[in-house]
Amino acid sequence: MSASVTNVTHPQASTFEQVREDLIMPLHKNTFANKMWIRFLIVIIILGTIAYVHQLITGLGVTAMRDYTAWGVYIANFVFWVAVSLIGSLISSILKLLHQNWSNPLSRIAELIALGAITMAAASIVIDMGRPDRLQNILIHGRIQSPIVWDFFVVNTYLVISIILLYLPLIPDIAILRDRMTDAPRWQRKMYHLLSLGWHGTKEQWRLLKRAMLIMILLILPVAFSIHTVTSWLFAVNSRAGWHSTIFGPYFVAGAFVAGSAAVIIAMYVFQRRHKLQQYITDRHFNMMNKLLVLTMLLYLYFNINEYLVPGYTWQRLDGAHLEELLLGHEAVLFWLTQILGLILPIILLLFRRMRKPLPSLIIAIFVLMGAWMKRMIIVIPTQLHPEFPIQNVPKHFLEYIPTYTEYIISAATLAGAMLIITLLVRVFPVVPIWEEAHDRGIHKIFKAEKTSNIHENEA
Amino acid sequence: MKMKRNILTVATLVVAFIFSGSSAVAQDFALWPVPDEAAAVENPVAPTKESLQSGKSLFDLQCKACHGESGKGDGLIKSADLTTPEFLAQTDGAIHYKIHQGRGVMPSFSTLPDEQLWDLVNYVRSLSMVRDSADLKDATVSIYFNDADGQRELTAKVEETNAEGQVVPVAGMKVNFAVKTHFEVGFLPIVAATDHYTNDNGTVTVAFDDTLIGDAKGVLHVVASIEDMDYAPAQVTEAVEWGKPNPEDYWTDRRALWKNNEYVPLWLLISFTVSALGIWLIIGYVALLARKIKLEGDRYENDVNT
Repeated sequence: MSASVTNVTHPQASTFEQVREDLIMPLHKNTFANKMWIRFLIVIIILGTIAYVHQLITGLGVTAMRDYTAWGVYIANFVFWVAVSLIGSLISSILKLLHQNWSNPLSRIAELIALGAITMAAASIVIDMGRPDRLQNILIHGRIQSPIVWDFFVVNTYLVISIILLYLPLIPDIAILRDRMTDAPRWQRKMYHLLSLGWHGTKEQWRLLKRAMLIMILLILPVAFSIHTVTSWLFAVNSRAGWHSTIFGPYFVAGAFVAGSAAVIIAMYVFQRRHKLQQYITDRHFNMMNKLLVLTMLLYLYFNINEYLVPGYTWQRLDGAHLEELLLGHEAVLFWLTQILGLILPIILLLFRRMRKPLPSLIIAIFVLMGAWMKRMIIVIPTQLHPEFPIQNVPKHFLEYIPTYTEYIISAATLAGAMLIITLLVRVFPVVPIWEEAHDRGIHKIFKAEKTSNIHENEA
Repeated sequence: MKMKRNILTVATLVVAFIFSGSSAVAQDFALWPVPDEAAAVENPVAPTKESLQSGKSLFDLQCKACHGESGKGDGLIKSADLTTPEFLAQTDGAIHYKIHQGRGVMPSFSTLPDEQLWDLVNYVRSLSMVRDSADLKDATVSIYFNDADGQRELTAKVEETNAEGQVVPVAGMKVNFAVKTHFEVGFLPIVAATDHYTNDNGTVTVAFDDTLIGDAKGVLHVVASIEDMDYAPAQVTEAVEWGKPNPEDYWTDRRALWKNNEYVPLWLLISFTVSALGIWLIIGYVALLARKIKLEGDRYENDVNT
């Protein structure tokens, strides 16, 4: 441990060094709780891997997917993870372009969540495949007309963009770590050295980095909208009740921002407490983030009303049967619990300032995130049980879909996988951007580059 | 020691049991005992042409799916071969009993009139008889469309050439009517409610179902085929504009997205390729910028060191 490490953050960090040490501090400490947490996640992932190998050997028959419900919880997970991953674009791109500087300390949290989520989205698709060894066929024989091909392309592209968008703003921070984390293990120091790209904060380096970041911020927007719109088209291009809807693209994107914002609020709470960042992730951030969540939820509610009221008004044949099932029938309890606990009640509660404090908003965000996952189940599964031709002469268990233990264990493993990615990354990288935080506080101090120019000259 | 030997004995028995079981399954079905009094029942129906014809209709409807066209047990599910010597060694009464009772996946046909079951027995027995195609007589079938009085009728005429070289009508010939299905790979039987046989003029007339859907112009391809023990199979196909025009055809052609790769719309090919390439070129440019940052870092370090 380096001598400058303290156990408390500076109550009023007013120098660059103070901010830097506050934000690096968590990287020095590998607490017992943290070790146990990582082990816990690894155990779940191992269990999931065993379940997956079992599924691979036995076939998809171990799942509850049958002739009619051919897309089950894995596809719901996929949609959920894609949705959560969109938060990276909302906070790091949209809010930045709108000069919403309050969100700067949250941008890395959002990018970490985006990376963990999009990785698990890609994994969920492979998990859902009966023959993953034939994945390459989508490249060899894929038809450009197929939304699956678009999805394959856009998921991989978004994965790469998420990594780059996480990495670029990290470069100056990695340079700080390279110079400060001298007590770190050899591999870690080597990694910092390699990833810092010889960063010394020269004028030219800042110019190049700013340009690269601006390009990525602009590029991620259309790609993020594409990924979730294409994901929605996987459903919407089918002439099926509950799927064949023209608003599915924006409906999914709006829902994605809800899920992602809730995930960020949960992560904010955890990092604020565990990394003692009360100085950097403040009540104000919770207040603003929850307002953003309300905004996205209101937008999502608006799309929900459109999505159910319009077909509900005509109540046509299959649409009617589908809506009957959702609103009044077999799925009604699930549907209304999701809509009320995961959307309507949170909107009402978050209108009160007291509810936007860290702890209440954590609880609300957990409900919103669980509701977001349930909503994906509600979108994916019931439609398949209302096919165009009546279901006849099939075993009784074909008529409903109740996920098996195998499916639940593998799903839990993807959740653990996303959290492990985030946990491991915040072990080696600061969760709040150091240079950006220093800049926002007006503490002008540039590492080793005092000889050359200052970044802020560039910004004029 | 004794215990060990016991375990060995049990194990041997278990292995033997498993093997005997699996070999029994592989060889044939388990024996199907028939009560003596049932086996002794005499077949009251003579295997006349009519009986065989009726038996075939029934066989095609109820038995063919599992036992296969030839009765060799090669239908959709594994079923008994009806042409083996062991099968044929049974009495008619025994075969009748099995059809009547059913067993396991083989359903019981006790609801059918007894006479039809005997027809079926006669037909099943005839399955294994080798018929030389040279012995079969040739007949021709032709179709006539009659649209008089607003009542659409379909007439099939069956004729053959007799020993004197004259063309004469064939009476009592079973005629099947069908239309070719949409993709022209199969036949959809029409007017199948009862069997239709030619009269003394060699013709059979049936009412035409107006609700059939044809192609974009309503063209249907009507097929008449003959089915008889003594005659070689023959059929004729005639096109007629008697179907309802298929209104979806135009839109099916327009909706080209789901066709194979050759049919990819140009606008889609271009927009997908351009955006995919564009995005990756930009990513490549950003990678280039990252490399420049690295080069600039190296330059700075050199400056400081020198």
